[in-house]
Amino acid sequence: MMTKECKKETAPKIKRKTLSVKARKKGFSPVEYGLLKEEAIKEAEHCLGLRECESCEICSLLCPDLCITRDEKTGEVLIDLDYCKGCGICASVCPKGAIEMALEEGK
Amino acid sequence: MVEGRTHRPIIQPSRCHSCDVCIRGCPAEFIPEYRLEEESLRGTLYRGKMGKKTVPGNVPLPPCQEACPINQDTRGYVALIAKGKFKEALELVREVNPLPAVCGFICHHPCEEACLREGVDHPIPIRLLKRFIAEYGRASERARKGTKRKRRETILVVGSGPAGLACANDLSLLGFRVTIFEALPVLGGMLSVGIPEFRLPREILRMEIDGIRELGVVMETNHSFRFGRNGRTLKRSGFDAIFLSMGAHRSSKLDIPGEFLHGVFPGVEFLRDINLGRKVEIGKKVVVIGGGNVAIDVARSALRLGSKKVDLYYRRSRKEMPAISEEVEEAAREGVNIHLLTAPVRMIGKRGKAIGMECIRMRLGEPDKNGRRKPVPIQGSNFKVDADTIISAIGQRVDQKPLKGLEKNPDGTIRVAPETGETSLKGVFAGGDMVTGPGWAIDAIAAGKKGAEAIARYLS
Repeated sequence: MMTKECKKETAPKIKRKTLSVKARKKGFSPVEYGLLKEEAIKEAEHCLGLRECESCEICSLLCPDLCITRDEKTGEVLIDLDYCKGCGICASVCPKGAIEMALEEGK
Repeated sequence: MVEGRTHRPIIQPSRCHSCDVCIRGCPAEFIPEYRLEEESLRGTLYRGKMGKKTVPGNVPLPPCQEACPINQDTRGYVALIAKGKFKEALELVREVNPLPAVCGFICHHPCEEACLREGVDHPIPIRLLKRFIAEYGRASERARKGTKRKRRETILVVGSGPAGLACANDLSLLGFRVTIFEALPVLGGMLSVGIPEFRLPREILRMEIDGIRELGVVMETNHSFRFGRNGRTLKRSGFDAIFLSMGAHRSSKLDIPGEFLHGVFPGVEFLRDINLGRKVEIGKKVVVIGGGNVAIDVARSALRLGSKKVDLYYRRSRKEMPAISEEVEEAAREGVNIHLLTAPVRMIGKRGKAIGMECIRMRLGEPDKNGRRKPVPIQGSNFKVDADTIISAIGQRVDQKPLKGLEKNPDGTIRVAPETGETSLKGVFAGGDMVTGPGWAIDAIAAGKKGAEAIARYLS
């Protein structure tokens, strides 16, 4: 099943990088340093407005077994695994790479 | 690239109308309206915090966007940063914000306070992200071309602070001819003479102002402007409309004995002298009075100018301090001693020179009409402190001299129509600190944008 969730893992708060207190007394140079490219991307990825599944419903349109539906009330996208034959089309067409194929238990 | 594709879309430039429908409809970029979800984590966090402002379709704005006075599409540019599209992110910010780098450095970020990620771990550092794209884009950004002058009307903007720059930027983009008069020798208003260099590097500010100048805005420094008593200034000046954004550059008086002793300075004037490169006299033991950003900036500047001991006195508690809390923390780290619930009673002088100050302890009483708890003095708790320089930074007022003939509020700010920002004189609009009293840069930018819109409507 795939959910309409964002990244749930919590991340430690980024520490503000600043000039050392001793160096500050020497003049009016800027106190705070900016973010590095990698840090900026990492921080931005935590925005709740971002997620992997973006409800484009391409997967449900292309599913040969018509087993991908969307719960209108909660907005959740559901795969009925009783009818899914595991063809993997949904995983390959997902523009966000939000569907993973996992090995069935006991196979 | 989407795998499993059988056909490739090719855009024919001759037939494309740039309607954006394809961009908005592309599932790879589409952001769903998850705020209406009932069960998801994000839906739960949003519940009860639905904004009042809505976009077409009656969908509420995200809290970060609603908290911003100019309603920047925070979620949009953060999403673009997450995808590594920094140039596009800066373009999106620029659509509404004429001064992105300035905001990246000094904004008091109401968006971060509203960020719902706080319910999970910590808010997104939106201000630092904006600073990052502004600095990153600096190298790659092409010079902005001025738009074609579609309108004959000329507009005068008085004052080149955030409100004036925002107004000039927007009017220029609408095709008007804009001239800015700045009374000081430097452009930027309080951004330039109020905020110290260690918080906003001057090259960043210069870059932002140059960007607006490239749009075709004429900027004249050392050019003060004043209103005549008869109110016919607009007609005489030869401009079709005026936007006033002169700010609040006079320090409020303490009204206690000894205020005119040698060694007692007003805060904003002190910062202005430092920022204009004038020589300031400062002693080894400095006392700063006030709890706003000016007071914190004065205290931190004093340390950098070689003062050994800097004490800051504020009459309410830390919670009521109007200064940005990060800056207060930095000031404490640098060695500013912050004394709360203490107010000055009188300055002590010896042969005309300040040698100390008498203070009284306060306690918090009932909340006033703004919801801030009013400090009440505790009788008999007076004590004395030594100081050779005393700087009062307890607020700013609007300079009244150039504003004859305009209707004003009792506190000296300009009275304007709340919807348009038009003053009592026809064709004269006002915004920024001179209307609201000292406030935040982003509020001034919002006022400037509103003024530009109102002027465009007035002239059409």
